[in-house]
Formats: sequence, C-alpha cells, structure tokens
Amino acid sequence: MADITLAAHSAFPVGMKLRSKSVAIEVCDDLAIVGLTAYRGTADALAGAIAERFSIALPSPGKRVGTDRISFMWTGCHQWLAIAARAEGGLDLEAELAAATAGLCSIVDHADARAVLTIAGSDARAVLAKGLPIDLDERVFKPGDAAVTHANHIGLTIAQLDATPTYEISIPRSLASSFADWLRHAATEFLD
Amino acid sequence: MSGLGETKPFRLPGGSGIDHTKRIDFTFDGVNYTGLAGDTLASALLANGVRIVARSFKYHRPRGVLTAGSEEPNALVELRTGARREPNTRATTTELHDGLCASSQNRWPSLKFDILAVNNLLAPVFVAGFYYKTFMWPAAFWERLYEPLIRRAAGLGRGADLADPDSYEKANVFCDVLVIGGGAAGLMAALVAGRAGARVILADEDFLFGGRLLADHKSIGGESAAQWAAQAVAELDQLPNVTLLARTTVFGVYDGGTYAAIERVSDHLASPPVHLPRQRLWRIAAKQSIVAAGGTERPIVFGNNDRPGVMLAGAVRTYINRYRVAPGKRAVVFANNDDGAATIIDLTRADIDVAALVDARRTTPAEIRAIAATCGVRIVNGVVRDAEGRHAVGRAQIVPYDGTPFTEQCDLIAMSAGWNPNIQLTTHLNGRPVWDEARVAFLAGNRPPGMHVAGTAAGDFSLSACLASGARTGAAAAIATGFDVTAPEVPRASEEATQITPFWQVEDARHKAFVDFQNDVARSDIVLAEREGFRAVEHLKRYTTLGMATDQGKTANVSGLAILATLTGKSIPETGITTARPPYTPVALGAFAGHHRGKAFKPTRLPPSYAWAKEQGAEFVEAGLWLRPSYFPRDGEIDWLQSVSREVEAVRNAVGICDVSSLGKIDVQGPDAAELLDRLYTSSMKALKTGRVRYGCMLREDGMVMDDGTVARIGEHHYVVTTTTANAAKVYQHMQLAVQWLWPELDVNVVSATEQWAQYAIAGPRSRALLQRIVDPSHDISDAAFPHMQAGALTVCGGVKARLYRLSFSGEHAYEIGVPARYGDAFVRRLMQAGEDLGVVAYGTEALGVMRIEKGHVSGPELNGTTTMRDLGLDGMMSTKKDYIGRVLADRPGLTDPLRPKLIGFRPSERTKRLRAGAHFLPRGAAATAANDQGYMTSVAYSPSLGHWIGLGLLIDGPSRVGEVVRAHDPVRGDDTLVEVCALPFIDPQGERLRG
Repeated sequence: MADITLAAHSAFPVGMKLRSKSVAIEVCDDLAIVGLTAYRGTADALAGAIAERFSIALPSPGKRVGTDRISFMWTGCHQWLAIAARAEGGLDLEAELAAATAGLCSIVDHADARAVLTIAGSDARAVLAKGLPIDLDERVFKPGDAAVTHANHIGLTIAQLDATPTYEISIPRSLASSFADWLRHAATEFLD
Repeated sequence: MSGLGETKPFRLPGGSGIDHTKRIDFTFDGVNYTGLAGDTLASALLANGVRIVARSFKYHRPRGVLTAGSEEPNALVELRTGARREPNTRATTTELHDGLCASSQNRWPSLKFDILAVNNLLAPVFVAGFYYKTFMWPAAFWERLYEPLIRRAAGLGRGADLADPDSYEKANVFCDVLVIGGGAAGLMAALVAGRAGARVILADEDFLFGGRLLADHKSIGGESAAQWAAQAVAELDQLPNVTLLARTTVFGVYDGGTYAAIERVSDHLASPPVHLPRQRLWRIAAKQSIVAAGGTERPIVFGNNDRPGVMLAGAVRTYINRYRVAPGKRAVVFANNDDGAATIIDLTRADIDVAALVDARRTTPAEIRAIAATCGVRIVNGVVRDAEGRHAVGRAQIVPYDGTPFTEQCDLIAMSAGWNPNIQLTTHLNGRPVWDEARVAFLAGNRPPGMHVAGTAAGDFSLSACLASGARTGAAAAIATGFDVTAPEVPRASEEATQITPFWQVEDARHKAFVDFQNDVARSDIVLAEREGFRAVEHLKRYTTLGMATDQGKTANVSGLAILATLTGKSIPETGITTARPPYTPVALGAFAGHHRGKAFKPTRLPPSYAWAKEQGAEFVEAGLWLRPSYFPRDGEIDWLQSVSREVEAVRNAVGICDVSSLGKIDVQGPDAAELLDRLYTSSMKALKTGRVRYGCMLREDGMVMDDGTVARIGEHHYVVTTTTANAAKVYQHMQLAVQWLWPELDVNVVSATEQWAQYAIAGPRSRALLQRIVDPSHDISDAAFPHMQAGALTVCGGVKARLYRLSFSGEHAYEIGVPARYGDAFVRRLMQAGEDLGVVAYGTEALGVMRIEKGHVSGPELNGTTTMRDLGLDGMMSTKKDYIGRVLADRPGLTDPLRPKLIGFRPSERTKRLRAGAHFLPRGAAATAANDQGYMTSVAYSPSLGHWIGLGLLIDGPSRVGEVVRAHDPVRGDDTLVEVCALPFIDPQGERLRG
C-alpha cells in the first residue's frame, strides 16, 4: 500500500497543551480507539476472548485496566473502549479486535470520534471540579477508576491513569474547541 | 446631640479583628475616608462618624446601620462604578479595600436632603395595599401611566446597565460533612468531624471564621473566644481532609444532599485579578450537613426605631469588640432579655456612656441588676416609646412601667427583642419551623435527610450550649458517614444568662414604628392589613410586602407575625410563619451562568472542514450546536444570493463539495440489525442488498414523520443509517429506546458514529472525475461498479480508509465520501486542489437548500413534526407487508383526511416576484381569514437554474391542483403574491442527471 498523503489534524486548537507547576495538559492525538459492545449473552465469551488474546480481564463498571500495549475502559452495559497507541501502517486495532472477538461483539472505530487529552498535577482535581459533577477525591476515585460523565454540557469519559494524579479525558471530536475554551478558563488560576 | 462629647474619636484602641497599622482609603458619596484592614464598609463609616448611609425604599427616610451582618435591611449602597456598579450591596458585609468606592442610593439630590422624602409626609397615603387601591382603574392607565410611574419611584439602587466585565465560574465539591457557619458551634462541629477523619467543608459567609466569638467578649478554656476561634481555624487549616471556605454563603438546599453555595472570590478586591473569577458557585454534595448558621437579632418595634443611631444590641457589641468602633457616645439599651447585660458591659468597657438599660420586662433578674450596678447603669423597667432626632437619634423618650416618662439624651439606642435562630436552610425542602415557647423562637421542625442543626441556629443561646451542640452534631455526622468518634472534649466557656420574656412592640408610639425596614413596612400597616381582613401570614406578607425585600425579612418576619398574633388574639404557632426560600442571601445572576455566557452559553460543534472554510471566508450558520458554512462569498459578489447562485450553478454544471459531517451517522450491527431497521423504518430494509443504499423514513409512535435519511447495508449484519443534522440525537435516542426497552430480545447494537467520519458530498456532472483522482487506483468507481445508491469501503490518498456512498440530495450525479475525521481538514483541501481544473467549488447549506427545493426533496421545514408521509407524498414508502413504529396511528382518520394540506411546488405568477416561507395559501379573491386558509409555504429559494423564485408548500389537495393560481398571503412581512401550483420536482423530472 502506498503511503498516506493526507496530514492528520489535531482535534484540539493550538495552545491546548499547558504546563505549570501544578497542572499539565497534554493532547493525545495518536490513539487507536475501538468500541466493543457484546451481543446478547456473549459478554462472558467476549471476556474470555479478550483475556486469551490480550491477557486482560475486561473491566467491571467504573474501571479501566490495561497493559503497556492496550487498555480497556468500561463505558456502559456490556460496552468497552479499547485504547492503544496508534500505529500508522502498523497493526489495525479494529481489525485485530474483530479477529480476536469473531462475532461476539459489534466493533466500531472511534479513533477519530473521540478527542483525547490528559490532565495531570496537584491541581488537576481543582480544575476538573469546575466542570465534572463527580467526586474525584483520592479517597473515592483512584487509579484504574473510570466514569462516563460530562463537563461544560459535553459528554465525556474520564479515567485516572496514576496517582499523580493523571486523568485521561475523551470527548466528541467536534466539541473539542468548546471543551478547550472551558478547560483553559478553568485552569487559568493554576498557571504560573 | 450637643454635649455628647464629639471630640472623642469613634475608633477604639486594641482588638484583634482589625489592623490599626493598615490604613485603607475609600470614598463614600464622593467623600474620602480612611478605614482599617479588617473593616467592613459599615464599620469604617461608623468609625468616621458617618451615621446616615441610605434612604429608605418607600418613604425615603434617613437610615443608618442596623446590623453587622448579611441580614442588614438599611445600609444598602451602590458599590463600585461603571460596569462594575452593583446596587443594594450591604455595607455590613462589604469588606473594605483600598480604593473602594460606594455611594448611597434612593436619594436625590443628596443623602441629607432628599426630595422624595416628601413621601414621608404623605405616609398616611402610602399605606399597605396602596398600589392595589390606587392604581386600579382605568385599565388603560396601567401601562401608560401607573407602571412607568411606579417603576421610576420604586427600587433602591441602579443596575450597571453594562456588560459585566468579570467572569464567574461554577465548581463541584463532595464531602462527608458540610458545616454551614463557622461560629462556636460550627468550628466545634468541624473540629470533631475533621479530627475523626471525615471529609469536612466548613463554609462561612464572613471573611473571618468565628461568628459571634469575634463579636462578643467571652472566654473559652481560659482564653478569649476570639483566640480560641483563631486556634480552631489554624487546626482545621492543617487537616488535609478539611476544606475551609470563607466568604462563602450556603444559600440553598436541594434534593439528595445537594447544597448551593456562593463564594465571593474577588468581591473584596477593587477588580478581580485576571486569573480569578469574581464569584464561584459551588455545588456541594454532602452526605451529612450541620446548619450552624447562628441567629439574627430582632429589633423592637417602637417609634422612629429606624432612625440612624438605633442599632441591634448584638451589632453594637460587634462594632465595639470586633471592629473597635464606638457606634455612639451615649447609649440607651432597650431589651427584653439578658443580653442587655452583655451590651452594657461592652459599652462601659468601650467608655461609652450608658444612659439607661431599659428592660421591657416587668422585673429584671438579680444577676443582671448586679451587672448594671457594677457598670453604674440605671435600670428602667419600661419601654423606649420613641426615638427622636431629625436625621439621627438625639433623644429617647422612655416610659417606665411605674413612674413618669422622661427624655434621655443619647445618640445610640441598642435594642434587642431576642434572637431568631437562622433555620432558613432547614425549610428549603419543605421543613416547617416549630415555635419554642421557652426560647421565644422558631426552631427547625422536620429537616432534610442528613441535616443536623447546632448552636444558636438550634436555639442554643449560651456559648457553652453552642460548643456542646457543635461537638454533638459533629460527632453524629462523622459517625453517620462511617468514622469513629470517641466522646469529644468540649472546652469550658464562660457562663451567661439567657432569659427572655416575649416583647415585640410599643403600641402607643408617637412616631412610625417599623417592622420591615427594607420594605418600609410599619406596625400601622400590619394593623391596617388585619383590619381589612388580611389575617393569614401569607396574606399579610403579600398585602404589606412584609418580608418581601432582598433580605426576605430576616429581621422582620417574626416580629411581624407576633404583632399580627397580638391583633388577632391568636398564638404564634396558630399564626404560623412564611416560608424562607433559596437563596438565603441574594446571589448574582452571573454566578448562575458561570462560564456559560455569550457564545459559551452552549458548546459549539465544529465540522472537520471548519478551519479551512474559515480561511475561505465562509459565512456560517448555526444548525443546532453545529456551525456549518452557509455559503462561500467571493470577491466582487455583492450579496449572498449571488454567491449561492454561483455555487448552485457550479454544482449543476461542474462539481461542488459540501461538508455533510453534521448529519447523524448511526452504526447498527448484529444478527437482528435488519429486523430492528424494519421495525423502525416504514419501508423494508431486510430486502436491501449488501452494498446498497435506500432512502427511508421513520415515524413517531403517533404516526407523524420523525426523520428521514439513508440506510446503507455495508455487511450482512451491518448497516449505517444517516439522520438529519437536527434530529441526530433524537433518532439515536429513539433507536436506543427500541433496543433497550421495546425489544430487548433483538440481538443488535446501535452505536453513534457521527463524530468518526468527516463526510463530504461531492456533487455535479464532474463528481466522478474528481473522485477518480482521489480514490486509490485499486478501486473501481465506474457506473457499472458503483451505480446510483451503491455503498462501499475503499481507500483514498494512499491508504486512508474511506466509505463511499453514491447518493444525491442535489439531483446531480453525486457521492458522499467519509474519511476518518482527523483527515477531514487535509481531505477537503486535497479535493479542492485536485478539482481545480474541473471547476470545483465549495458550497454551503444555502446552495444545498436551493438544490433540494429544486428537486422537491423534503427537509426540516417539511419534517416539522406535524406532517405525515401522505402529506409529503411519500406514502409509496409505507410498507403494507410489515409492522413498524407509527404504522397504526398513521392510519387515524385525522391523518388520512383527504383535506389535509399536501406537499406541492409553487412559483410566482409574476416571475420577478419573491416568495416568502411562512406565507399562507388562500383561494383567489377569498378574504384573508383563518376559515379560508388552505395551507402554507414551507421552503422557498431563488432557483438559478430556472431564473425565478420557487417554493415548496403544503396545500389542501395540492397535487391535483397543478396549474391553479392561489394567493400566498404573508401578513408578517406585508406580502401578498399570486402563485402558481406546480408539479415537483422543478428540474430533471426523469432523474437523468442523477444516473448520468
């Protein structure tokens, strides 16, 4: 196959990336994201297939699990997002999952549907509190926890990646600009 | 007021609440003054000897400072200037800052001399119900005369009338225990719960925590109450599980343990720093809450009790102890309770003469008499009948119960009718207060789940009781949220007497005696209301406006209903109390909007080609949340019509590109995918072959058309359906309802894929030529391999995954092609570049609309929720061989009535005339009445292909009236045009362009 001659365009506006002593925002443009929804009565078989292929137990509600290569996040009843680094010209995650799960679930590519960023740092919680109506306190929401919620009237998924804390947030791509406006506004008081 | 020692300064030495070394300059009514750090505007004005700070609402009477807190009804000022001017700001809660600029309101030309004070002389006219009685008739006068008149005279301050230059934000926070109020009880509760490890939020409306610990001269555990408070705050500040929110008012209680609070982040600064909002609206979710909101002291209703210099006794102590200000030189204390003793002690310590302690009780307890003796203060058992003095208090007319009335020179009357526990938050979810005879106060009745009440708010009027109930509720709340608490240690506090005998009013006052200071409701108004039959508290409230000002009658309500009870001979519990509602204190609307103002009111969805279209100078139109290019003007084009016509002609003669990514795309997969779609769409989707596309309509359950779109079968068990932009969310919701609730047995998954694809319509006779330059060479898109209504996956531009659909909305040979959204920007640029020699243009929603009208295709204006498939001439698509949602009700007689207006085309009889959407059809010569209405024009466009305006409309029996001329009557725009009914489509009726 010939090389792709189109340039990929970030979902987020230039300047979304921020870094201060207490808040760091990074844009994650190069992710492969695939949605899996089990068919009727196939959830257990699907979990078995995923375990066999990726050595990962599909997460229970409100959780995200992963290896260096691939993560799975629960996003709804019998629904998960598979997230991996995007390999241009390399392995096609959608095709790989289709092969591994053969008919146990529907598979939809969301790599371009979701705009993803991470926000990390000691004030990340304070920034997110300005929009997300869920409790991100360390006693309640821990590394490996995930939620489907909203901020600034925009539906989103959030997962805590580590204890820094670092959060990964994905939103619908077309709303990235509005989300960025809100997030920058919310983060302003924590910039150096 | 002569001879009262004007030479003594008002500011007292010492004290911990203010910093004598930090001077702060401010202006009031244009005069420069100096205050100290820690002052409020009220304390700073008092320290400068300023006594009149406002004019009252109705009678324009001079008013001073009544209280030292957020309940202040009198000292309302306009704060700041220009766009930041804020009316009705309480001077008693306004933190002094350098450069603060305030002015009095409701006066003209000046505070001392206010012309409308003539209203005071007309007071007998402005009685309760004045508006109801005066402005009754004639009705025509209301709008023209009465309302403008009232509006000019009413209200206190002036709004800024400019856009607010500051920002506001909202935030969410969660906790185990929310403690509302940081006085003795609140601090104690927070300490107990916080030490136990609970997540605690302590909120206080003041800028300092401590409440009355800062205001009263008391001791805890051998140190001053203020010192204890400072230590408690320091300890709480060190606990990582405790959040302290100063300057934060919890103003509302909502379902499920949700509380609303407003944090005044920057109100104490001249202007907010760029990185901070002025205010922050907190949504607090708390498992348990403790209302430790303290109490509000009640005024006594006596003659001229609103004169500057008449102050609540507790406020007098606050100004002396916390702000180190002498609110007067010579005082009379008038009380019905033991607090009078604390007041004379503090006055004496501050070296203020106390002319008398007028005790409204028949007998004064021995310990109070002893205190008075120590202070050298005479006790008079009796009343202050009237205050006297033109602008401010100069004398008190005192009437002993046994003895001769006498006059006492004074410039300060400290009054107290006891304290109302601040239980407003306990009533926000329908709690009803309960009258406590012994405490002479309403206490919280039934409370919202998880809410405790502590301290003065719970009727604990002594400091030791406040600390005890704070500890008790703090422990209970911590235990309820899963923390262990061993018997908390409660520090010992100084003891004090708290006896009280009910006393509300002086009935034989010579002057007006006020109950609600802010709304100028006097005792005489309550008497009148009762006489006229307004004897229920709720009636009394509406008739007199008692308690209806911005303070919600915090200092007025209980006295008002007690006076009513006296008049009706009923008890206070029988009389009842009006309901306090959120917000506890006024909240700026800007705070409720937060970030969502201007364009951020709602988020905006940008299509993948947005950046490119903006570079091209496109005009955009809002389509729901989407911002879509409506047309692409070029240099030299004089109006939108010229640009749109050029775009249409280019599509009809060459090729055009339009971003259609905003149309909903829903992925349907599973063994029962075909079955589901068959039940949702009116036509059969099972019969659709893999690789083919079909136009389809969905009905609502009631038989009306819900939406239309295309259904592409891209695999045996895999379909992609499209929706209109407007209905994308609604259709997705409808499909989820079907899958999750109506037919959970169907094995099918429905997933939104709208955002994944940057989708472009490529339309026009040269569309395939353009595509062939883009599609990777291994894919055949010839007519044979890719005929009209074909769909397939392929790659473009060197291996980019794409989905190609041969569809046409324009009526031309056309495609829609989707590429992953990240390539959408580069892809449109590539298409435009590749098609340059083919004459490619970008076209927007306007040209899209023109071409679909030329082709007679329905869209939003026709799919408006009131039309059926028969109305739209789509009945051929209503399968009779299967069931689908809406089928039964679509056959209702009302929906099959042959007289329903049906879709048909129109053109102006006189071809140069313009058509107007919304115009109603009337038979020629018929009067423009509803009875003659035969339908209306839904969509119009100027057709460059035909050279005149064309329209789609719904006309009774339309399809059989082709050739007939009817009136298109548009009273909104004053248009009345004759139009000819014409067959659809307007162009290419055989569809030759489509397949060519």
